[in-house]
Amino acid sequence: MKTSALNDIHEQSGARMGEFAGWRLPIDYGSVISEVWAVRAAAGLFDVSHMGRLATTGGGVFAALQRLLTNDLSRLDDGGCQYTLMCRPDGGVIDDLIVCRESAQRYLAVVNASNHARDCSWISEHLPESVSMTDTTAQTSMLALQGPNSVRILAAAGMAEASEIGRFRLGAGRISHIEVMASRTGYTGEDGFEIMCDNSAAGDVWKALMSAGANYGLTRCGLAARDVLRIEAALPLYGHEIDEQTNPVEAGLTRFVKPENKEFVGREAIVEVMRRGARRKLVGVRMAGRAIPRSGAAVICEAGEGAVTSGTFSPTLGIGVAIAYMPPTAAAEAPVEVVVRGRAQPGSLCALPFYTRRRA
Amino acid sequence: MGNRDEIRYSRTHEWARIEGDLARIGLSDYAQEHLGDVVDLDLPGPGKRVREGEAMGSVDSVKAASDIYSPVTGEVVEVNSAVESSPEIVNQDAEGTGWLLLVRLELPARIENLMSKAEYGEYVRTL
Repeated sequence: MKTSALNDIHEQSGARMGEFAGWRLPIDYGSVISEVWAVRAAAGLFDVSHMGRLATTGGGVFAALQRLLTNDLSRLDDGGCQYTLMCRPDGGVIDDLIVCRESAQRYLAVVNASNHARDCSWISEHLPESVSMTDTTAQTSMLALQGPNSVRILAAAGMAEASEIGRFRLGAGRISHIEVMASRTGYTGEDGFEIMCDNSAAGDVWKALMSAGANYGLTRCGLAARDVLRIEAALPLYGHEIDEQTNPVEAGLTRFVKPENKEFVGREAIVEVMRRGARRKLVGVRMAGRAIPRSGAAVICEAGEGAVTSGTFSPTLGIGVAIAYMPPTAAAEAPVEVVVRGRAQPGSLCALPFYTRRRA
Repeated sequence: MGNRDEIRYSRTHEWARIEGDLARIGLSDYAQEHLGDVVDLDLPGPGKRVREGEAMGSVDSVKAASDIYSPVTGEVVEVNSAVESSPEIVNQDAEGTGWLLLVRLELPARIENLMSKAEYGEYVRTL
C-alpha cells in the first residue's frame, strides 16, 4: 500500500487510517459529523496526496489535451484551472479531472487515484512525440484546506497572497517560508485551496497550517468527511456517479462538454446522446427520516426504478440523502421508496445539489 | 448466575446487564468507537422476541450499516426511546444511558456464556 509523506503525523494525531485506492490515509479522527461541521462553519485540513498529479509539457501540448478532454482549454490563461472529463470514443467517462494551465507549454492534470494508472497509459498513448508527461504524484504531497476560514488561515500561515487567487485559479506562494502551489479548488462545496508541495516539506506545511488555524477552528479531517461533503455538494465520484459505462450527459455534466467549440475523443457519441436524450438522469433523493440509502440501493417511483450511486447521512440537512440514477421521466419531486437493508423507506426526489454555500 | 450490575459482552460487541429477571442490552463502547457517529437505529418493539446470537436490528453510522445481534434470548419489554430519537447518545454513553432494550430473559443462566469485562477487554485487543 502507498503511504503519504504525512503518514506519521496522521498516526500521531489519532487518525483512524484506512485504505483508499491503494493508499493508506486518514478515514476519520473519531467523528465524521464534527469534521463535516468544521468544514461548513470554519475549516478542515485533509491529506489528499493520493490524487494523481500529471504534468504535460512541450510544443503541441494544448492541441493534444484539447483533443483528449471534453471542456474547452482555450478558455484558460496562465494560472487558470478547469474541471473537465476524459472520455472514450463511445462517450464513456475514463476520468474526471482538473486541468491547470501553468504556461502555454505546461499543463498540470489532477486525476483520481483510482484511475491513475489507466489515465497515465491513456494520456501517453494519445500524446504526440513533442509532448511529454511526468507523473509527480510520488514526489509531491497535496493538502486540501477547505472551509470559509481558509483564506484567513493561509494569511496567518504567511500566505497573504492567497486572497488574490481567484476561484479556479492556481498560484504560487509560501506557507511558513516553504514554496507551495495552491489552487482555489476543492471537493467539499466550500471555499478552499488544494496545496501542493514537495514531500520533504509536507510535514512542515501541515503543521504550519494546523498551528495558523488554531484560532480559526481548523480541524483535521479524513476521507469519510470528504465523501459526505462532496455528496452534499453533489460533486461526482468516479466509480459511483460516473464510470466508463456512463456518458457525461446522463451524469448532468453537459456544461463541461464543448462539442460546439472543438473536436475531441467521444464528441460524436456525446452529441448523439444530447440529440436523442439520455436514458436516465442523475437526481437527488431526500429521505423522510434518518435511514441512510447506500450505493446500489433500489429507488422506486411511479416512473420506474433507479439505483443509488452514493448515499450518506447529511449532517447539514439532518436526514439521509442520496444521489441516484432515475428514469428520465421521473417527476421532479416524485415520492420514492428506497430499499434500505431489505426495507422500503420513504423519501422524495429533489434537485441537486443538497447544499450550496452562501457566497460572501 | 451473574451478579446484578455485572456487565457481560458478546463476541459481536453487544453487552447485557442482569436486572432481576430482565436484562438491559446495548452496544459496547468498542462498537460505538468503531462505528463512529450513530445516526439511526432499527430496534424490535415491545413484545418482540429476540434470540441470542441472532440479528435483532441494525445500527446506521455515517460510515456503515451493521446488524445488531441479541446477546440474550427473551421478550422485549422496553425500548430506550431516548436513543431512538437521539442516536448520538450511543456514542456518548454506549454502556450506560445509551442502552437499547430491556428484555425479559428466558434463559437467565446463559448470560454466563457471555464474556466478562476483563475477557472482553482481552478479546478486543486481539481484533
